[in-house]
Amino acid sequence: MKAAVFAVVLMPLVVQAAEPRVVVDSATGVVMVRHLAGMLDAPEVTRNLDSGLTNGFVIQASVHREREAAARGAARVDIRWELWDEVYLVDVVAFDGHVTHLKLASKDDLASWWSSAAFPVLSGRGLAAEGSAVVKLVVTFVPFSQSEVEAARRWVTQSGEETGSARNGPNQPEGRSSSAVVNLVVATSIVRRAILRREWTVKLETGGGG
Amino acid sequence: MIRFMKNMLMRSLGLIWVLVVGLAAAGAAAADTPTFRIESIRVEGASLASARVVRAESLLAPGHSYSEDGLRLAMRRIRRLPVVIDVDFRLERGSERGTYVLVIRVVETARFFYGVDLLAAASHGGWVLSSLDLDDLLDESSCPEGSCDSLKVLSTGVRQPVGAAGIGWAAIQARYPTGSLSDNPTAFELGYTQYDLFGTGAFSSARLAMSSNGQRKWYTFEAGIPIRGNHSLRLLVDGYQQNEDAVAYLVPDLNELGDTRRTRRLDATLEWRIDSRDDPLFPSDGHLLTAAVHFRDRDLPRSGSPFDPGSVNTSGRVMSFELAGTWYHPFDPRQSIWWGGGVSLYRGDQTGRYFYEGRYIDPTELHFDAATVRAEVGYQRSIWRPTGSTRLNDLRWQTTLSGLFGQSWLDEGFPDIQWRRLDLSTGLVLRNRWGVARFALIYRSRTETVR
Repeated sequence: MKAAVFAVVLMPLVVQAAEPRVVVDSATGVVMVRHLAGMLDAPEVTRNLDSGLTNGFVIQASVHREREAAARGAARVDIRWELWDEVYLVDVVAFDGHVTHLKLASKDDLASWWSSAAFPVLSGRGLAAEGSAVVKLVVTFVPFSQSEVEAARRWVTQSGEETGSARNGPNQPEGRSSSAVVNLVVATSIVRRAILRREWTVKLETGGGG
Repeated sequence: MIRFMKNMLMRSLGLIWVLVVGLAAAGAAAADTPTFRIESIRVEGASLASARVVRAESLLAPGHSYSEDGLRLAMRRIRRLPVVIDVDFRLERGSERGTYVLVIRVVETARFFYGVDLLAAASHGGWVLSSLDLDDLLDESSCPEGSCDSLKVLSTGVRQPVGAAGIGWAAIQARYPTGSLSDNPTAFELGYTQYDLFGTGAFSSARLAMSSNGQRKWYTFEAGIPIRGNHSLRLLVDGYQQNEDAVAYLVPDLNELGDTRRTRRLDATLEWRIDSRDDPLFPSDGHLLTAAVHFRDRDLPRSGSPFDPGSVNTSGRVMSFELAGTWYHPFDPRQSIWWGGGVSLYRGDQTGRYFYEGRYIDPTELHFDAATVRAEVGYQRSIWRPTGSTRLNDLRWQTTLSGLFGQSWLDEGFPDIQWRRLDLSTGLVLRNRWGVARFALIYRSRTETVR
């Protein structure tokens, strides 16, 4: 009986608590996706994650204000279990082409990092100031067989160079490099057949750095 | 003139610079990619295709190092095996540090299989090529898929592994219409494919089919030799023979009683192929490029009605050379497009008796040259949401639009013919572990101009 009450009354609250958050960093203006818990332990993911080959998550966000799309962006997370060193090698590719390399020693470390990491998906300067907005968030898991990591790496190389020049040029519109990167993400990852897909619609929040 | 040359020089330098930077970027990216030294290869889930067949088709060899893209291309090659519908790779530790065991898990088709082709076709236009019996030699039959109205082909059969690297099959097929007034629609088929010939990854396949009354026979021989990566060389010999008694026709006195009308077709193709498609039936990524030499030999009864008083056979031979390519692009996980085209050059001759401009012409020999250019675009959409790790059930809507322009040059006394063709095909294709079913509507329009 208690279990039934828990299932009916409390589970929706648990599910609600497990929803990711999308926050505009008030200092940098970057839109971050946080608290993506609950995907790493899906059977489709666990079956592939320890294959020793690279699997990828693609995080896509589109900000809507008054039912109209105001901005969109994406990030990609590549994960490979290195069998001999027994570490998870993680590459987080941000919307602007910036790559963060991580080594995580165990699945628990990976799960802990995953649930607390903030993934930068787009430059949202001005989005928070313009009033309430909602974000449609889509996270897909693309297994090794469907992804094209080398194409993605080439994309990273090229977009990194492009982003660098954009950063150096004071008159370069800020959104240009990120849209180029997003287009390349679309070209390499999003078109691949995902074997796991989660969607949320959440409020866009404003928060501090970190 | 000097300005033009200067512009060309600057453009060339610009192109070289782009190439150098592009190659350097690609090289830098490649240096970053992990490679895996494969100590051994283990195959799981293979019963129809043996582990040896899967290993041979992968073209991966123990002792070599491969990048992830190299492994992914090997996956695609395995997936193109006719008895494999899905494949997955994983690595395990080898016996020494830095070496790996590659585990290939395959999902195979069922042992019993079916095939369904239900095509409703419509066409209009075209006459001169067929009146000269050139349409068959130029592979330009005015009726799509060999039928001018509809075609129903149902087949079922069983596959059986034979030895360490062979697969045999037996099938029964029913086809309506048969293409003959007197023939039985049922045919029996036997086939055998030997993989990994001489340990090289090459294959050869033979197929023999016969209608239940013995009037029609088909025979096919195919061999493929992998060259390197996605490059391979293919030889295909395809024959067809049909014997009919003229007495079978409704008005036998218009033919010589007891005369046998014999149809014989032989096609031989030698093809260089670069195939990086991700799927043999529903490709959404990769490309297929081919350079082929064809030889076609025909011995046909007059293509006109059986009441034609002059039942003189037409025999012809043609050599052709074809360059073709198709590129596939996904634009989301459910949809993809493809585009492609090809150029063919023909040279041939035939002897026969032709009906042209209201009279019969009896040439001893007719020489001809021809060229065709074709272009194609297609769209494919998955009807079922593409989730799940294996592709056991796949239903797609496919639409193709293709256009062709052809020109033939004939001996003096015969007209040169230009023809334009437009084909539109749309339909559903279902694939599962037991087979493939295709339902399609096809429309063909062909116009011919005599010069």
